[in-house]
Amino acid sequence: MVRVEKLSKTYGSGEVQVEALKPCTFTIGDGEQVAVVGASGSGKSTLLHLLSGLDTPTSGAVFLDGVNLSEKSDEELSLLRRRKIGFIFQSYNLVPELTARENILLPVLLDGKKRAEEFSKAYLDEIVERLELNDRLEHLPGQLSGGQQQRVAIARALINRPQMILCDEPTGNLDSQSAGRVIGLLNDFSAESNITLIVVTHNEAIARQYPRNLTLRDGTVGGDLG
Amino acid sequence: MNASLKLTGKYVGKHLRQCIGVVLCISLLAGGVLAALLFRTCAAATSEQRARERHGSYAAVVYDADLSKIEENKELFDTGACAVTGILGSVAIEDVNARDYPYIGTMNEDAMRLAGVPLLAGRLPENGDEIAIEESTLYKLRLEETLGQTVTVQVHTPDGVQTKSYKLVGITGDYITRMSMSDTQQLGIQGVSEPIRLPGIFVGGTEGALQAANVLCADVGMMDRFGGHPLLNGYFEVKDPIQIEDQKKADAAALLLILLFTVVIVIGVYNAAELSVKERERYIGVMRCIGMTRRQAAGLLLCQGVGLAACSLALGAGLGVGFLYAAVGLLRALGQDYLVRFDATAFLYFALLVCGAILLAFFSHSLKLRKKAPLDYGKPGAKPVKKKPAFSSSFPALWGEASAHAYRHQNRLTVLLTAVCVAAAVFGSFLAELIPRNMYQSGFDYYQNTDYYVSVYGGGGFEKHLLCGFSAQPGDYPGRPGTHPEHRGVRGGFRGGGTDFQAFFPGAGRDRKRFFTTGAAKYLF
Repeated sequence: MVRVEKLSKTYGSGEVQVEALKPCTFTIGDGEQVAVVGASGSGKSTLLHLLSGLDTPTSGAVFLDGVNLSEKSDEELSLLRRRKIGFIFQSYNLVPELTARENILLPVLLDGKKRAEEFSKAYLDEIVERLELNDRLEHLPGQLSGGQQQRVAIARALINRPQMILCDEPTGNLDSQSAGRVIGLLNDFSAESNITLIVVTHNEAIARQYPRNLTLRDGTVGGDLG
Repeated sequence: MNASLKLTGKYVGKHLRQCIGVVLCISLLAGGVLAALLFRTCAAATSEQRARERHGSYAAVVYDADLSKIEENKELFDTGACAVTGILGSVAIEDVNARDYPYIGTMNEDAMRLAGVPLLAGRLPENGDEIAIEESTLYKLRLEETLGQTVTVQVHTPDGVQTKSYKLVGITGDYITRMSMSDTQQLGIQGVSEPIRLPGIFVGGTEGALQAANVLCADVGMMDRFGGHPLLNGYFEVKDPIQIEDQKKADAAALLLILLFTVVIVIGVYNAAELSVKERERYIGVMRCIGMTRRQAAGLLLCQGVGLAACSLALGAGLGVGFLYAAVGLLRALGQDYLVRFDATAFLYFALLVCGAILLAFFSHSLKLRKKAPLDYGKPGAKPVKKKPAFSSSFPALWGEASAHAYRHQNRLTVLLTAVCVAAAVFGSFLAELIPRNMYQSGFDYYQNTDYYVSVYGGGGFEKHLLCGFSAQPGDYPGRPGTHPEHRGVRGGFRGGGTDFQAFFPGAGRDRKRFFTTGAAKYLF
């Protein structure tokens, strides 16, 4: 469960101070699927970074399973992101010199030899099968289409069986057909594995597919449609 | 570490050409500095060697020299120049410039044999009334080659002019120098008070007179070889102020340049290394997002830095040594003898320079990354937004504008400037080496009441020039101004022993070396 308490973020100081996220409080339950909606610059990405511990809040706190992320060291936060959080970006962010397989297995590689031994190859095969990437595993990102790259990114996010997946505009660079497919896959995996899914989007059509929407406007969580 | 190595390996594999470019850039810069440093070491070693030779070149008068011992060392005169004679004065000839007066001196069979002067007719003079004249001097005096005729000459001695009549009892071959005539002529041209000449007229009656040898040797002990009483009073000192002093200045300037350019090179290497980090920054950020720890990110950068440093060190060292051999080879081709020496300090400095600059770049970049959120990696750092000031035509404002526009070219410009600086440093040192080195200034004291002078000139340490200083075959020096046709190509010797003179030998190219690096003195060790 993710609990956000009086969370705020301010950049800069003095005359150039920008309040990216005004104090907000909400909770997202395990396996819940939430869309975060808002215009550009409304604070969506800031919220996502704070939820994943990539950025530190100016005030307030984020609790993941009751653990305050602000009290964690950078090392602990990195491990937490690696093992409990999956990330999906608008621009895929695959490492260009690694093949699709290596990109998918990157979190396992980062986890070291011990974790790699524990890792189940059957699980990889299952993900790859479902994402229809079987014949693309040895391709480099540059040799894949946008939709394929995003599916590789989804596989990478899923490989460590995360508790939560954070998606920052995952369909922003895709055509509508690919976008629908990506969202469908994400929702399916989330539902089947009870993974909390938080999708940042400014596409209202996509947002409407989610049972709960958090609307952000000028840094304020304006409406919780859940 | 396994992940870091694997990821770095993958990165290098994918961006091989780019990595080679960075390594090459760093290696060229650092290799240039290494070459300059090694070149300096070689220059110092060469100077040291030459200084040793200089300090070891003593000249002395050996009174009562033992002719048998001189003969034992006769091989010295075969490879170097020598003169075995005494000088009494010069003989005036009508219509001939005083500078060209032949010298009158003493000679006996031993001296003739030592000096290699042949007796063409008659015999050597046995008393003070008899005279033997060399063939060319006889011609100069406009005398017939008739033995027994009376020859009246005006002898210019330090005590004044004396008119004397002698009986011609012998005709000798020309007593010539072992230096080419053009060299002797050159000595006369270069502001020397006297051209160097040997006596062409020999008188007898020298019994009881002191035999003396003028010896230029490598150490004082060498003089013992000639017996008698060595006297350093009249020493022939070889000074080479141009070689030593100017080289010291050139060396100091080269060192200063190297130090100065080191700073520039550190900036160049730093920039090249930092560029290679920036290339990966964005993806390191991505990996940080998906769980890479700071330590792992640092390890990744460290792997890259160590790999870059190792490759740059290996290639840079190779290039540096290559540059050095190229420079030394070129100098040798131009006629400068040069020693090649490797100095561990130069390599250490080079290694510190490369590793220091690269690791500094990676370390400082790691620190910069700590201040950024992982998703901001690869993006320009957030700068505080300032209110745009009103347009100012002041110089600092305009300069700021110009710099801002040029900013994107700064890295290329830095590398270019660095390369130019390194080239200037290396070639600056190189050019300094082209300063004529073998200029010697010499002084020679005059000794009276001597029967024999043995002058052995040499002192060079370069064995390959052992046979230099004289011509072995006719036509060795064709077209040299002042070369006497009859003397050209004939083995000769240095015309030493005479009135006070100072000789300044500038020489040029091969000639200068040919004379000054004769290995005669070396034989004496």
